[in-house]
Amino acid sequence: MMTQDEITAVIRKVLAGNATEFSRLVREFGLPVRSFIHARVRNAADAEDLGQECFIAAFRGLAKFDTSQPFEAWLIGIARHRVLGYFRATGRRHHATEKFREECLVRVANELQQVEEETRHATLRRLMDCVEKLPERMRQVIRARLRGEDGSDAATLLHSTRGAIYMLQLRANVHLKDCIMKGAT
Amino acid sequence: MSLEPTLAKLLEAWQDGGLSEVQEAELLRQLESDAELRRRFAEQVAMLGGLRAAAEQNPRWLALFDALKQSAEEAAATDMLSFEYATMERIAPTKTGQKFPAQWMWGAAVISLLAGPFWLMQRSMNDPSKAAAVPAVAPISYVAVVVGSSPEEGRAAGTYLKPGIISQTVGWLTLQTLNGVSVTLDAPFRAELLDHDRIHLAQGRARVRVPEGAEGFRLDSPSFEVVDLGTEFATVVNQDGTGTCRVFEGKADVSLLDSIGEVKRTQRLVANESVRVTPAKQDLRVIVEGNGDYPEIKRPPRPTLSLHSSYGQDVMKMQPLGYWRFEEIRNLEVANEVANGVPLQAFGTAAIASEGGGNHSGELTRLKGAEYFQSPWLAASMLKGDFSISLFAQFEWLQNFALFSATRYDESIQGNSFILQSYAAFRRSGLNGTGLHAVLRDPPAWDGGVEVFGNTLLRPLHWYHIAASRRGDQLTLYLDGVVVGRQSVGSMPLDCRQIFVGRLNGNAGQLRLEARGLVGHIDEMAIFPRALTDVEVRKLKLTK
Repeated sequence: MMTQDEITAVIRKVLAGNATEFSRLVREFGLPVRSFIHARVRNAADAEDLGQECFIAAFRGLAKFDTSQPFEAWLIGIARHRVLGYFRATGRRHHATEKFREECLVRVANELQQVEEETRHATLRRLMDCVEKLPERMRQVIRARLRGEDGSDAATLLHSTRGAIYMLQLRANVHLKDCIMKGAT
Repeated sequence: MSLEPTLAKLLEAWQDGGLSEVQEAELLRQLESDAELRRRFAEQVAMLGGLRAAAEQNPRWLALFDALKQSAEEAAATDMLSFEYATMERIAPTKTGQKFPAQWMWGAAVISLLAGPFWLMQRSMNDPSKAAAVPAVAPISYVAVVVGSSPEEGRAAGTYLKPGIISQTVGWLTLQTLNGVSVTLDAPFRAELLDHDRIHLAQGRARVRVPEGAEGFRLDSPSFEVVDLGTEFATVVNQDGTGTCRVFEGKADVSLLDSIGEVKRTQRLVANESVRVTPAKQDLRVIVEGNGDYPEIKRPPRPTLSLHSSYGQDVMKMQPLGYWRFEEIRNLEVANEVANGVPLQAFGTAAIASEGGGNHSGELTRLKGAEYFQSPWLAASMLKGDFSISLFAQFEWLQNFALFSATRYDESIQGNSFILQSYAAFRRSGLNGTGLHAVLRDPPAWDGGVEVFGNTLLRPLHWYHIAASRRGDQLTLYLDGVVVGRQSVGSMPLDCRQIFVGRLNGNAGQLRLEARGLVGHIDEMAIFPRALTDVEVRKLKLTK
């Protein structure tokens, strides 16, 4: 994990004209920023595009960054702005699921921010290792979801019911959070 | 009362929808009134986001790269005698004595840092040193490669295609997008390649096969769109906008579009189901029909690998540590030509294919589950210090395929110590292009490590000689005897005691996608306990 001094040094190099140094910041903060966006934006390709836009905006606006402030919080602020813009731009073609998600996000905004701040300090990079450590059935559910299968598909695949799939996923996510938090201590 | 049932329902609605408005309103009410439910749901949402992000370890952000590169070029242009420029010039002078183009220098630096292969390196096929030293490069934006076409059209197999219009009045064209989707278009057709996961068919007949990992491929027409959900489907788009779609395997969503392209209605189809779309009536209806009027996926025959009669002897003279010729599977094993060397165990549907002229290869194309080759745990290290790997490979389509992986035995740490693989643009990445990629990790891990990219353009159904050679702290990648990537990888000890061929380290229960299981053929794999020279690698590439 980069220290504040290291981050400041990298930013100075970038501002001095060494643009390639910026990629160190992308590597360091790419995962938390993308996690933030993926948590809110359902379409994976759109989420990745927004992640990229966020870093481009950060690169272009780097001179405005106050190096006494946490860089990650600044990036997340940019990501938040981009996600809101995305919701505004795509609102007219949202269907019911999207509307429901946005309603949920409004209601859990504070809690979500708090959870993300907690887990951001844990190493999200461990997450896929943690998936491997899940009990088999939970692991299968998580894998199926990551492949893009919906609850019904996963239920068919695992010879289970749709309700049981969501319950397994729920518990798997709790295990995963414990796993990455353990790794952070 | 336990919150779990409510949370599970929330999770369901959040991810997949499908609840009634009343149910959704009730969930939102509970969320509003219950702080504990909010906290626990937020944990779930955060974890889902984290998983989706972590599952895609290396997003390929072309636009970001362009922004950095452009900025770097501007800086270089104003300071041509910068320290970095002078250093790069000293490291890699051209044979002609020309100054290294600043554009390449900055591009190379960004590539190595971003671990993103964005460049096409034009190279001599005969002189490895020239390939490394003449960095004539250009940005690429390819989305597909031609697999074959009818003689009357005669598009050369292996031609890379950029986004744009393609049309033919006669014959057929089969192409593969750079995430492995095969598309055959029957003339007359008029289509537009939009991206590696999207084609617009204005008129014509198309058959589409989408491999695992490329689900979500979209084929749209003026009046309807088909979104693949892991399947093979075909569609006919007529000049008047009417059309039909039939699913042959798996499933797909077909949506009726209105005049401004908004989705009006969606019908999910499973195998052997069809729909007809009549835009004038805004009608989308299931119909009963046969496979009749749809094209097949057409492709040229797979080329075979011909070797000169003394190839095996020549390899043995170079004193490999292990050499597997894939001539047969006996007792579920592929023999090691080196005396007392360990055989490779064949797993699942791994098979042997005839290459003609008495040669055979390892075949991993059955797609019926696990298929790979693996060594048992070895008492002595196979990869340690300097080493080289040489093999022939042929890809059925272009995706991220692990050709070879190796690991160190460690109860507490799992993963891969060394990976040699192909890469191709894939769904979420946004990056175009294909090539070779090696990763070194010590201790073994599932991600991270030092990467070397071999920037080139691969094509499906073509035999390649591929080699990786580590000398000191440098790893070099070769394609057909030509250096395509060379980079410092530090002094990792590696000490690998198990090798996998055609997949990453793992078990038979893993899905092909997770294991990056090769779909293709592999032959003449040799491991050497030393760094081969460029000349030696070129010799290993020689076949006839």
